[in-house]
Amino acid sequence: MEDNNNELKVGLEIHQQLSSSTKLFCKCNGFNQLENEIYFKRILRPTQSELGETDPAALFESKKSKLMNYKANINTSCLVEADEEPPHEMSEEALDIALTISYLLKSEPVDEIHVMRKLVIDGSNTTGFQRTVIIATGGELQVNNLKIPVLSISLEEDASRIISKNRDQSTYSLDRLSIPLIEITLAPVKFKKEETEKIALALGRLMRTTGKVARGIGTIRQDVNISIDGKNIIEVKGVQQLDMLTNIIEFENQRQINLLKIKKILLGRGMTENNFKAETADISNIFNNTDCKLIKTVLSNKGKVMAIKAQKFRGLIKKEDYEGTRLGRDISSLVKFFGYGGIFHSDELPNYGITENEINKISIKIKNESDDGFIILAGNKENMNITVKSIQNRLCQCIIGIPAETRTPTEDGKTNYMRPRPGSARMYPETDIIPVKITDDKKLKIKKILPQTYEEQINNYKNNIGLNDKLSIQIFDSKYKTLFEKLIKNIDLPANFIAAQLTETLINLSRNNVNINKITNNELEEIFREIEKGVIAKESFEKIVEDICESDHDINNIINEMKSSKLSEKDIEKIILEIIDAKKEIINEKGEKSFSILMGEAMKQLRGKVDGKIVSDKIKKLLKK
Amino acid sequence: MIKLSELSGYKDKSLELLSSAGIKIGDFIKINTKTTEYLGNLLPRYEYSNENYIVIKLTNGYNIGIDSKKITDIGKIKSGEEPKFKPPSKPNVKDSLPKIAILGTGGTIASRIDYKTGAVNPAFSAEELYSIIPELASYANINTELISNIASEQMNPEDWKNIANKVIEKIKEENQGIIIGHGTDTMAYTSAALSFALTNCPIPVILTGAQRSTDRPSSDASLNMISSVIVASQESINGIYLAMHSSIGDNEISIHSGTRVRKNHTSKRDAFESIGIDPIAVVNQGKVIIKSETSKNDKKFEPKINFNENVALVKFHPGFKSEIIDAIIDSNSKGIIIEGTGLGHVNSQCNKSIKKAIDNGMFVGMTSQCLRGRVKMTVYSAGRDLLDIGVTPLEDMLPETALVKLMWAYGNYPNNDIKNIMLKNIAGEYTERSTLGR
Repeated sequence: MEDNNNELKVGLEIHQQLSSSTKLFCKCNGFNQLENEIYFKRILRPTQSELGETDPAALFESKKSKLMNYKANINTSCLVEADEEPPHEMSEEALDIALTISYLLKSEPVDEIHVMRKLVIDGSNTTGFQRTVIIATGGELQVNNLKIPVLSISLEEDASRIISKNRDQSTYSLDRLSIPLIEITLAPVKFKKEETEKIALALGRLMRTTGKVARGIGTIRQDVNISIDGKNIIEVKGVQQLDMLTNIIEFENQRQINLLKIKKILLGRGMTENNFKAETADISNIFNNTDCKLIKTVLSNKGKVMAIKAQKFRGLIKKEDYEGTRLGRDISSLVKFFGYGGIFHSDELPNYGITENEINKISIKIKNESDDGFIILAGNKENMNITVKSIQNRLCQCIIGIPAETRTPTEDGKTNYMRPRPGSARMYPETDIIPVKITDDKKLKIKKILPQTYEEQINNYKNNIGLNDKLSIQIFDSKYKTLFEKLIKNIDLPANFIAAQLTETLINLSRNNVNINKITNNELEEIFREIEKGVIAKESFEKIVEDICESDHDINNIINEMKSSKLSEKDIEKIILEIIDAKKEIINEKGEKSFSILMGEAMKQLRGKVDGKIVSDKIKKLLKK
Repeated sequence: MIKLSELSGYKDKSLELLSSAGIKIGDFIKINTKTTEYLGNLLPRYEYSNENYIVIKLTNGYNIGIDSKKITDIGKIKSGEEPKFKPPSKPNVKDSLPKIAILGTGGTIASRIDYKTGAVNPAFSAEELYSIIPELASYANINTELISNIASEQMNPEDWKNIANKVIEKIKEENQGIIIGHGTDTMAYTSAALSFALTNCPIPVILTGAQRSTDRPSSDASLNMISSVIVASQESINGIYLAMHSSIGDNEISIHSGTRVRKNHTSKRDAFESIGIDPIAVVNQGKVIIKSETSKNDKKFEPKINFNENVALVKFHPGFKSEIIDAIIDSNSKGIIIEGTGLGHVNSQCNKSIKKAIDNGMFVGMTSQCLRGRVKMTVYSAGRDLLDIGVTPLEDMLPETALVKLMWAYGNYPNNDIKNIMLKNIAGEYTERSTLGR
């Protein structure tokens, strides 16, 4: 293959939680109640396939049976999430939302949907598989003048929330498990730096036009499929922040370019897939009196040190033109997958207490010549053979090209090896649920009530409802979009006021660590109704929300308290006169300019009780006297 | 296993389309509709669905159904391949480990998935069991035999007899313990049946199964099986037991007495409960912890394995029609177990029919639908009247156990012995003390 023709192609896979009233396969709903009172432990075991696995890492992954701890709240999870009861029928509401999004993407729904079980045995699903179903295929996403083809749209269960994880066990909370998730797979397209984020943003907004997708941290997640050789796809799982996408793609591009360069050099040095032999040797004896602390500890714990010959690899293990893309780092994260801390390699030695003398002995032992390198793996004996085999395979793959694998993003925009890429094969039917027909009636019904586009909705906010530009976008993107649209129809308050409270005020409270998730839409509506009636001041919105979220008091009590502390005109005048009296000197000195000082003082006492406009009018009036 | 050569499940229009295009199950095909082109492998259509849809597995692994009315073109691209299964080889198992027989009756103990067709195939040979549940190799030398292949609800007293015969054969083959894999729906009936048929069984016989299917990584089957093998290897235990999860977690397995266990939940892992007593033992982290004294019974083992299924279990309820009892009498039944209310009562309108049954020589025994606690028919007049007619109170025997015992009694003893046999505690079906806390 000619390596110069490589073209970076990137395909996005977006996972978005739907805000349906129940989970996908039971009648549980929601988050918000995080106190867990149910605990149970499980061991997940691999299921055997009719076809033997050949990749040692895949085999190892499937053989790791780990202890899983599950925590659950009886209000947000039931026997279905605990895998103690067969799933109920699929939520029709979730299916309708997914179909709506499919039509927005001009995707064609399938005639009959079949729920599948996709094996995932990391414990994030209590069953050991994720239920997932293809809803539609084909279609396109239009982003300005660009058309990105859609491959498929599926509806699936979200996984449990991980609480902690170590080598032997993982702990998960079941609240998130089985919340409906829509997965949209876009076709890989030629990568343009400035476009990827735009594509992701446009897709996010397209879904939000339905008003039925969840908002907030962890409710949307991108996987990115990145390939430069057109054959082997690297899947980077779980990119949460859009602004990291470009960095991650660039890193992967460089890492893959580096791998292709290594391949070229190896071929140039005469290596082929057939003559590659990575001999190994137990080199524990060489380190009997070593100064390398790490190896010393390993040996004193009855561990073992192995050398793996890296034929013709001299200089290539550390080779990197872009930070973090060296092969050594990849091999290191590969061995971490098997539970080892890392590796030493010939390109970085002598170092870490390993001496020239020890290196020479290793070279003799594995018969290294001048172009050759080696990898050292030290640790417990248990998984040594399978790990050594994986390193050998990884080295051999360098002659072939880029290995398809699943990688995980790091915070600084790099990627790490996570596991071998699961084949499409690891899926089989969910036999507890019979296939569901998507009838022509249903299709028609959904097509009839498709939501307006993002642009149409924003224009409507601006032109018909009278929101300003900033609030239009903020309310569209917020989780209160649907509530807002309901309120402006039913409540006679300025749209800008309602939108500002639902976005800016709530965000402010949230920044001050008030748990605003505690307040329900009904409670918010109640507050606006009381303001509409004039029994409480507009300014009290923030204070009431804060009280509801922070205290155990009932909303009615809180509102009543506000009402009773509502001041009469006389009370307000009295307070302002007292302030004017106290600030006499400043008033005499500054005249009308003292207004802002007086206003500040007055609002200290009156905030949340009286409309600011009333206060300022009163001050102006009383000052004139 | 699904044969790739058949067009299993397809009918009418779908079958026509497929056969005229020369397509078989497993083939990689192309289907066009007005709007879309689909590529995938043809899957079998399952029987419950009689509508005309063609099911394919797309290349990304998902299955979808395509309405055959909407298909404009269909064609074969490539023939399918039969899955090539390489059976695993037997691991090295120490000869010194106990010899344990595992009998299969129809419930699945372990399975393999054929991802191509989605079929879940049972795995049962010793080699396969060792390969799927590797822990077994450190506890026992296992040998396996599939003795029937019937779902638990399809099981009849005739099948209990076959199982009992097979157990006797396996005892003669010097197995140290026997495990019976069983569907969970009627497993407690079978455990009661074997408890009576194999009274004084010299070795442990453990029934076990799975509440959650064996194809799922979370299945309870493996831990149930491992724990059963551990208990079956114990020299200090003999008799018939049922081993299933103690809780919804994979922590502990309860070993229930064969006559006092009941399935009390439709789907949970801990559905099986001992009623009125504690489980006799639990298995926790590979260790057997004996909960109640079960001194090794070395009375003579004289199996009596016949059952007469001509008896009835009747649940009384408000509005119950005594004609039901009349009909049972007319059907030449030999006896009736009544699941009465509370301490053992029925509406007095039924008394006439019950008397007729007893006068006809039938055995009529009383149990309680409360399940927990014992019948005491001397407390209220309703009970005393039934005693006068000749109804036999069966203490705290579980209704299902009483039914099975009655089938067994009529299968092996003359009519005039039935009442004595029913009242004798043969396999722990009665408890002497109603302990506090249960």
